[in-house]
Amino acid sequence: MSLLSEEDLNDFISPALACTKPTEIKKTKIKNNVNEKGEYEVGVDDGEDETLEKVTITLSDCLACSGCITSSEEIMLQQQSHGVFLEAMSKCDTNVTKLAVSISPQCRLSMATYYGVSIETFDKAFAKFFKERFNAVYIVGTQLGRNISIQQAIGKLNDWKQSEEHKHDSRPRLSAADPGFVIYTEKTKPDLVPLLLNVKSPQQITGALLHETFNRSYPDKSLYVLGVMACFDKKLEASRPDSEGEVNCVITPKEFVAMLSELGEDFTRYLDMSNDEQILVQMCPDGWDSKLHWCINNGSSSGGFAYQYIVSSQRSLPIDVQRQSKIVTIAGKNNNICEYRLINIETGDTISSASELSGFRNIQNMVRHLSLNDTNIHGGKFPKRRVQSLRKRQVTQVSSITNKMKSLNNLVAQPYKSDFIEVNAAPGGCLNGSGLLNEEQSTVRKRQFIQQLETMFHESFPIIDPLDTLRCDKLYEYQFHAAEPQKQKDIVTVGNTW
Amino acid sequence: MSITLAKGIKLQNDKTWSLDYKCTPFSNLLAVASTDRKIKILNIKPNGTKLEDVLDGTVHRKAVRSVAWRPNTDINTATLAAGSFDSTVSIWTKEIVGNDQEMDDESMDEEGIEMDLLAIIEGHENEVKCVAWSFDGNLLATCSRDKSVWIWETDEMGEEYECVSVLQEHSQDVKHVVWHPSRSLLASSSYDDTIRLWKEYDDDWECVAVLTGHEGTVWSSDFEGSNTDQLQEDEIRLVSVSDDSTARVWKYVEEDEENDGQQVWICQSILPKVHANQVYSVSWSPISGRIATSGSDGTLVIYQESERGSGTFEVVAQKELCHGVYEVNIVKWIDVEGKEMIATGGDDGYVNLWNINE
Repeated sequence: MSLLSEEDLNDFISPALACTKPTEIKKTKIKNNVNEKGEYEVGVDDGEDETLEKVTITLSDCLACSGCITSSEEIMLQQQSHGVFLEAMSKCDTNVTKLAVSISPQCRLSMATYYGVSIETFDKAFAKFFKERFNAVYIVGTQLGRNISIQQAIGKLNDWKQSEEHKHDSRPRLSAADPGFVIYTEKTKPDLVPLLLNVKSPQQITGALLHETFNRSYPDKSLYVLGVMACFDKKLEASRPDSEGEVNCVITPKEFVAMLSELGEDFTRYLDMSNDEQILVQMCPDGWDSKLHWCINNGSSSGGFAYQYIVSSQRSLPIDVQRQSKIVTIAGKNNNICEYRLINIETGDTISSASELSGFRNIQNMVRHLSLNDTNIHGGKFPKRRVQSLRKRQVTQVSSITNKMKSLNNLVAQPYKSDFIEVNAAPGGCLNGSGLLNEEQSTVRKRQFIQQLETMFHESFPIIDPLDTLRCDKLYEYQFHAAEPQKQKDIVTVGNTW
Repeated sequence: MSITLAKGIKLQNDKTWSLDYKCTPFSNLLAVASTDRKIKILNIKPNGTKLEDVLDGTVHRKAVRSVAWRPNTDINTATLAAGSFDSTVSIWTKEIVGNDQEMDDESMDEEGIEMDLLAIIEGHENEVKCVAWSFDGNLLATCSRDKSVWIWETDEMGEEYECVSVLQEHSQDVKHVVWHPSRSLLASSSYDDTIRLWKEYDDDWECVAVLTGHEGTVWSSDFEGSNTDQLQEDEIRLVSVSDDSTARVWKYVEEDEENDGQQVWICQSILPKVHANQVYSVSWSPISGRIATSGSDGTLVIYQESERGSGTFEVVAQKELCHGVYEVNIVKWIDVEGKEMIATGGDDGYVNLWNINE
């Protein structure tokens, strides 16, 4: 199994044809892979030309570039891989730099299933491994970070719903927990960037919390945070300039398994030692509830942001209204769309609504619906008059459907009319993450395996109410960067263009 | 058998890229796509052709590469999809009124059929290479240099488009897409030298077979269909043409029990070699069962199977230099009021109509 194949790296949003990085050419001789615009093209054979200085591309370059979504394998391996982690561990002075590891519940389920053990057994063995091998100080789950991420997302949604802004523009706000979708939006749909809710993901908040705790306990030492996450795009998230230093390196379960074999470690040895009941308490950061961060919350297996928003919305209703309200789960056009709608069952009115939406096809339809310039294509040359005359006939058909929708039994998911959409690039969300261990060969079986994981996910972890935990005053926010609207550019690529 | 020119129509100075034909009760419409961005609509009659409409050339910013009439619409409606190098797809429509009803109105006769722009579909990252409607007219497939095939679902009007799948398995530029004439089965041809077949499975579309064998870009393909005798339930064949100068016939064998829904296909035959260079276009007649090919060498070739289903084909007619010294980009069998003809489009900007003489 190739660890980081090009296929894995695309994380369901493919990279553009050619990656181009504007670069300063130090020598006059033009190299094959630098085109006349001075753009460095990855994937073009560059031969052996010594007259040019070696150009390096960093992950931040990839994040800043509007050329493509995900970076090349080479770059990923250079800066965010288990090799990088091992090197950092071997170089650092273990008396000064300590290791903390955070792991998402999807990865714990994936690896527990892979090793054929319970989640609890896996967690202990995982902790034991990092403690023995790397002298780690903290091993944590991501629920504490997720609680804060959910609370702050809900807080921002509530503020926005009551704002003046909402009156002018009620398009749904979009979750930013999936870095693949965030980067896609920043680079290719800059006009939708204002819709992104700038609350950091559980990965980043957990990293920040670990640093805060560590700095209180060991003010003269430094902390290296390793994240174990379900998809490769999480590496890019950790490399964002607005998230620097929170998580130093991200690896996936695929890489974890490969790392063990590279180190000559047999994980079953640690699984056998998992009768150490105190290990998880020992590895818990000071002041943290030793159980809470290992829990999950209700809602989707990708964070449950949409569901929790609706639960919070119901709880905030006056008690008499609350009694006559109901949360309805409405299936969408396909398996990867669903809406939670809080309805007043007396009046049939919608009180609030949030949706889950995943997969590239659904993201495409969503961005087409939410883009404001949708009707303004080609500088207004669209022959509007003719189009309108045809639209009139259509309206009568639509209104008959709307009448049908009035009936509670016959609801149709309307994600674009929600207050909030929890978006995931991978169809089905994090459990379909490209970094998880899925040995099935055919697409059909891979999908069946993911469905099994989905069922197990909701049954395998203790569940906590994220709305019923301590509030955190400090805000963890992204600074989004909308790319300049794309200029007309024709990149000369290999192959004929017709 | 011989091929003779029935009519040559110079439509523009730029290349003719694509054409598609649709019979309606009142007219036989031939839509023509060209580098000049203006789609032409011709009415083909046994006794002559007429240029009915030239669509607004400002809607697309680059060449229109592909056109396809939507099947199975209300008989009085003609809807056309057009894919452009500007990465968008436009949808045009027209309610067709019989000339009889408009006899008195002479101005109407001059204006001819005028089509309205109904929708613009955006999604592809760059050049759209081909557009194709499913047999029931509910789905539109589009493919692009961005290596992907998109499937769009539309309403009765053909006005709203919802993406139901993005297929990204091809490793290169996707040149052509075509639907089976009576099944929900899609074939895509690519610069990666393969043809992929796609079927709906569990609310998404899956690649069910990869046809390998061509030693160069696969430019187009066409399914076997029959207007006269019903094909057997499991009788599915596809013909493909390639840069490697060959045309190949592929045959569906069975569902692979071991491998969930995957289909087994074999290359049934390589058609007798005539073309010297790249073959760009192929059309399989649902009427005569004959196959026509054309390409870079300018030759139009007709193949006939000795016995239907046998896989043994022979060349029954060929015509060299059918667009002068220019390349022929498209070939299509058309049925002009009971008479089977061939339409070709070339780099010379012509559309040529050919009589097939038995």
